[in-house]
Amino acid sequence: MSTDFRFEIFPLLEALCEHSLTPAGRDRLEQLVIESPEARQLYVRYMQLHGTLTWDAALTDASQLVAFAERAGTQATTRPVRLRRWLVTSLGGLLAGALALLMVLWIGRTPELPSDPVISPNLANHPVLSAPNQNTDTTPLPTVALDVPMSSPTPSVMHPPNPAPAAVVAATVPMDDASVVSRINHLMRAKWSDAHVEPSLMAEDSEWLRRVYLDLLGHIPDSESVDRFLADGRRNKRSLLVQELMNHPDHARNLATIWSNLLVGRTTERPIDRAGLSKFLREQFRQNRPWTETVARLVSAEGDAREVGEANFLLAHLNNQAVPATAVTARIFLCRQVQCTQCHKHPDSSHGGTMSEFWELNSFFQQAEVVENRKYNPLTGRDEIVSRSLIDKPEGGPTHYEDLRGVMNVAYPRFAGQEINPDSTIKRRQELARLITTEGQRELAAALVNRTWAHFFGQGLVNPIDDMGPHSPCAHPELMEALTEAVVASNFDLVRLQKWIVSSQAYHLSSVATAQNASDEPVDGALPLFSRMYLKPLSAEQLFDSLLVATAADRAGASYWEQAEANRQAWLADFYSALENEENADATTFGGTYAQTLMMMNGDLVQRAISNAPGTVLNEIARTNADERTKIRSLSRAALGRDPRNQELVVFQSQLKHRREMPGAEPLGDVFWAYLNSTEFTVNH
Amino acid sequence: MSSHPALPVVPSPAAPSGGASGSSVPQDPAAFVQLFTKAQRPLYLFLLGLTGRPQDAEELLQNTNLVIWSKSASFDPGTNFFAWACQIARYEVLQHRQRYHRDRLKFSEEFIDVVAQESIQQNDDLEHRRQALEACLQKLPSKDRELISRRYQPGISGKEVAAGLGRPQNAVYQSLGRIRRVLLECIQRRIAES
Repeated sequence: MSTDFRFEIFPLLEALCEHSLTPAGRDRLEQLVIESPEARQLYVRYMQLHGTLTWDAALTDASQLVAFAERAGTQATTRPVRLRRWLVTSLGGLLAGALALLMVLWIGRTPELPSDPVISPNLANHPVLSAPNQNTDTTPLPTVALDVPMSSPTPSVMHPPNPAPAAVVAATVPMDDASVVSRINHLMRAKWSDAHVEPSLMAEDSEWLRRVYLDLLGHIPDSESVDRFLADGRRNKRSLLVQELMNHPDHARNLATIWSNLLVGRTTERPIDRAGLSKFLREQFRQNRPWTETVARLVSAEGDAREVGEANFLLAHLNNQAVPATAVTARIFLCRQVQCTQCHKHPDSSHGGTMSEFWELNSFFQQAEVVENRKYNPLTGRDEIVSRSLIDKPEGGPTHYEDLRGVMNVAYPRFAGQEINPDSTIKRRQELARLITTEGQRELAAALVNRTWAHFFGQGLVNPIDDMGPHSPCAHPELMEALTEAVVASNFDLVRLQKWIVSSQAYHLSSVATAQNASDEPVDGALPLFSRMYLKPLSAEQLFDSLLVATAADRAGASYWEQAEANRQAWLADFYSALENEENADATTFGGTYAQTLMMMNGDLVQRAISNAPGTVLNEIARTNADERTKIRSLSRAALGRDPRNQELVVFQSQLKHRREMPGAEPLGDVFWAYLNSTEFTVNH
Repeated sequence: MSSHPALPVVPSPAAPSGGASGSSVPQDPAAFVQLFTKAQRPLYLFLLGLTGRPQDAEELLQNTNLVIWSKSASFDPGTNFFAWACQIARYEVLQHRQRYHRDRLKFSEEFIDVVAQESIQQNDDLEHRRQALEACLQKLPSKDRELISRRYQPGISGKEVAAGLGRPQNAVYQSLGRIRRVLLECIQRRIAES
């Protein structure tokens, strides 16, 4: 243990014991204790000493105590009230209380126990009450069933069909947010200690602020929010901010963007109403509808794509005998890769993954059909497609498929071991929606946990994110279990799941690795330990929206909304090329590529951002009367959400000195350009 | 050793006639009382670590005891009583924290969580440490011992000790801090030697 560390913690501990600890001191003490195991140990020992002295003093023989008090004399004005209370309770109340307790306990078996108060004096020496204070029990923890109301009224979720293993004590522990968060923290720390790593330091406010904005709203904070947050002295400002951001309209928008991309990809080629799907998702997330409801509506939607936004999901995937629909449904909602089993068995077929299983799932989509709605166009003199509808035709019976040897097989609709009636009168997709959200709810919950976790940490608990199953090692099975349990118990409350994760210690760690956790490097193929925040490249949408927040470049051009949105789409289109394959999945060529770099550096948007046009952030900062350092600081806060480092100030100031003498554009534009093109800008850390 | 004032206010035993209260009685009442009693000091220390203030720890011990009592039937005698009780105690702290959320000196949940774990881990040698403390107190110079005794009289704070001695508050705090450090090191040494 380093001397520095003791030097710092002892005064804090002493102040705590003497009730003179300031809020700042308390914060520092908390930080030390949370971050350093040595500090934690010292804290507990110190408080044990303090507590033992306090406790034992109260147990001193009463007469001694009185005598001592009389000797001390001087405290006559303050002492008696409490002292009397102690004496009264310790001699009267205590023994009476203990006696009453014993009586109640024994009343059932030994009703003949005398209630004569004469027993009282002996009680102090009662073998039961003076039992040695030792605790060598190493037996497993029992569960505490505290009466905490659950947010879900469904009784069945309290007792899931597959109860958690004994190790998961949390199963019946209260489901309030604080308990879930502390459960995450507890499991995380146990993992760190098992793996012999130490978590990184807590992220600084500026680092964390940018992170939580990007993750919850999809863009960086504007400089005003940065200023406000950094100046905020409240100690719970982080949790207050999380609450605020979750009520921000961009929160639902961000979730809708993410899930739209997952459900139908980024390509705009498909003949679907992407905006309609987006709007449906946005509403679901804004109202925080249970995830089970959203999934059920997506899977069982019927109707005209223009009116029923959720229908666009399957409309995008019903080609090719609904093979894409089957694969995407399993991959997105259940994080299961079934498309390979379309033609061959999964390498590990113990967890399903057989051909018949693929086709049994596929059979649920057999009735679904796309209908094109045509209308006569008098201008062209032709019937033209005006929209498409998703309907279920009343068709029954099995689905036919050919196996590897060319033998024709049949598959009936079956999911999670439940076969449904294959009659034409039964709406199969509605049945599938029901089964996924009931029989399959643990799988659905686990998949949601994995995706959400990966969203915040850049790494899932299982990786690849959408290939869960016994063949994929889980980085933290107990945590996965606990969170899955909690999601089911919360009735699939996505916002709460996000809140638990964002409130956990791991989410507040710095992204800077230390010597004690350098081994935690998932890029090298190791299972992630989450002992620090992993870097996440910004998505195309995050990058674009962040550029707008940082620069207000959109205000420099045509500034009405449609134009801005058109600009956004055009800009985004350059960032990815859809690689369409059989499963209708698309990959984006994104993530620090050369093309992206060039676009950032020379693209129209960035040029406009540094053009110093009225209304832009650069212009607003440049035209103030502040000194140069302040202006650089404002630019740094606008782009990176932090203050400039000294080295940056030195370089920029010396550069600016030269530029000032040259005519032309606003020299601060170059500073801003440098910040916007830094790797730091394009990464969420 | 006698018991502590913080024992619970127990419901009146008047009600149980004809075994009506059978459901709330633990499986083995005598054993339960024994576990309950011997856990009082560890629980108090546990709560003090979580709150930092003896007064809060006392109050919370009362509350915790009431819950322990009301849950006694659900305790499984084969398991660790102290760990079970600590879960209840921790929950009481969090509840308490929420009730008085405006108090600026409360510890964060995260802190409570880490300290709770650490306390449970360090509970095993508590009795050894207590005995070591007794020995270490004897070895203190009499002046120091007197100061510590004054400070830890029930209901007395360092401020009042300073006022009583007519010494500056800061100086008394420093002395107390030094003595506690000496005691802590002495305990460490004795534990290491034993």
